[in-house]
Amino acid sequence: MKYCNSCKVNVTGGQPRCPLCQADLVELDDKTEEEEVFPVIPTIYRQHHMLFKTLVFVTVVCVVVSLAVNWMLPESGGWSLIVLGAAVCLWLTLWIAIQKRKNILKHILWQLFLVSVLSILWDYFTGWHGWSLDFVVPGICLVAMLSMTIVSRVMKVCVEEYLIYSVLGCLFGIVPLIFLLTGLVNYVYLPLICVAASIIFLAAIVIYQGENIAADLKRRLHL
Amino acid sequence: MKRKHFRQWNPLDNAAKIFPVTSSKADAKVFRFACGLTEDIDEAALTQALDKTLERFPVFLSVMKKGLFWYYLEHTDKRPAVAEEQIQLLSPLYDENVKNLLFRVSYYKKRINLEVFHALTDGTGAMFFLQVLVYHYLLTVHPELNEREVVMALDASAAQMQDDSFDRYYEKKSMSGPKSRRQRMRYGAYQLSGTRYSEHRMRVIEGCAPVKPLLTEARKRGITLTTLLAAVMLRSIYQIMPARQRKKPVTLDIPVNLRNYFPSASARNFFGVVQVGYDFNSMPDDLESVTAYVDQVLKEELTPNRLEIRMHKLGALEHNPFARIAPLVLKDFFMKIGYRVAAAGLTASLSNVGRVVMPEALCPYIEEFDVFCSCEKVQMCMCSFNGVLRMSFSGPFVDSDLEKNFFRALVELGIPVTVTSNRFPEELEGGE
Repeated sequence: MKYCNSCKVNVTGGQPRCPLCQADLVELDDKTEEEEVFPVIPTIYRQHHMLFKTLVFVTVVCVVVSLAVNWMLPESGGWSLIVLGAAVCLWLTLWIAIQKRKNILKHILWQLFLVSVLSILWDYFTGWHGWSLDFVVPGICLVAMLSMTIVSRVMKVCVEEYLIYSVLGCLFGIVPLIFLLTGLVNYVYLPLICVAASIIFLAAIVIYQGENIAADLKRRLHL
Repeated sequence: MKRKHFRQWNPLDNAAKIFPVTSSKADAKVFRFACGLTEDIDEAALTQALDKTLERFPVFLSVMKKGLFWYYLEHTDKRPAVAEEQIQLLSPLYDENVKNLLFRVSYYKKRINLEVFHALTDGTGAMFFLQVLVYHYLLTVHPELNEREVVMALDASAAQMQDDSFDRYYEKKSMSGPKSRRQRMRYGAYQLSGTRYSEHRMRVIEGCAPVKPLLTEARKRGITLTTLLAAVMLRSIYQIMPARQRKKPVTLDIPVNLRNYFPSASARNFFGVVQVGYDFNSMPDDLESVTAYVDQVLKEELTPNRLEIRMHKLGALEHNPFARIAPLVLKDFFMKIGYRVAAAGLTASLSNVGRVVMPEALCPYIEEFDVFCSCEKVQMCMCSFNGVLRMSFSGPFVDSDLEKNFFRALVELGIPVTVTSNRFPEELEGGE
């Protein structure tokens, strides 16, 4: 046991200095055991910070340089806006990936929504060729449903954990039906496959896991 | 036909609703109860004891989930792993992306640590859990202790422990009373400031003192121990206030165990909060004046009627039909604002968990109990065992002047104090 002359308190736990006033301590002569109450735990400083900062910096440089060059050469068209848009989209998807990295199923669902919306926006602002609704949205839905099924099997996620994500994914996969019916789609194959697969998948979930879904909905919608 | 078994779930109780919203890396809303034994801890025995304890506390085997309107606790098949303490104390337990258990049990040398996310239970519930855990642990490592002779007073059914007592005591009625002092003096309280530890680490400084001389000091003034220590703490804060801030009141949050006023055996949250604000600008700063004032406020506030009014107000907020149908994202947003506003009226917290009683046959094996809590300001938690009171200050600040003033004031009253604290690698000798 040690003693602080300024605070007039005993100090235990292997402290080199007084925790209260940081003064040097006097050793007491008693033979009581020195027992540490708390372990010293090393601090883990984030190590990926440097790589991350570099990536952000490179993006900023690319965008600024292309904006400046484009301004100097106005006759070359508005291509720097494409660079800006690409940078924004890249960081949006990356940000979601980092935010949701601990929950893969949630991550897939978020990326499904985000990439669909972004591709429609790209298509719209680059003169509406319809490729987003023809290929990207249904394609990504199919990939998402397939990967969710594989992930939940491989990682042995319990039913309650993945049901909600699968159901939301399927419901999203039926949305292209609206595009089909309103005639927004040029090539019907992929959207049709996507809608059909979603309905079959949803039917399977409802038929085999209906009770679980009902119970989960009751929990999630309680007022 | 095979009967389908559905998962048990519980809505969050009234007090718990704020915690998932406001928990952050800086303040994870986690508190720790620890028990120091006389011998080193055996991991296998602790695991066994934990399994037995969880049979009595099924609520603890829950994960937090988000609904469309409210958060809720869902029973899980996950089982806790006991491990030697190797992460920062009071590290976050709740992560909205990972469905983890909301408590953790670790050990270090002779100590068993229980860390709990506040949405799961309050101090009383967690202490209850730790006591049962220690009881089972000691029976496991000391088979000579006869289970029939050592009786752990635990007179509560599983249903009683799962009880949402806020809900049980809530009824629709209009309640009003005279405005309390705290309402008149809650805005713009003095805020502690200073350098914080990096990586959101918490500094814990613990002081122990014998209960007897402290009680003698309190009784000499005709007040309770909590009142005395609250007054000492208010004065310690006043002493570190910069002169230009001294116009602001110093406000302490004091959690109250509602089980003492409204019968309940719930192992979930059931506490209220009383605020004591002292304006050093207009009132004298000597100990006698402060204790007299704190005593008066606590006597006014700690009545079943006043506590019920407060409990009812918060209950009415939860039962408001508009609040109920608002989607969770909207609720989160407003609750965060409400929390910030309330926090601006608060300087620090003081919570007295009270006397810990263990079966007499187990006492020779137990050295101490202590408790502390994560917070963005400074919180002092205390509990007493075997005639020794342990007062633990926790907070993110590097400066320890508040603690210094507090313990020096106790020493001035003639009370012997022994201090210890956690250490960080950069503060070790030779390290930088």
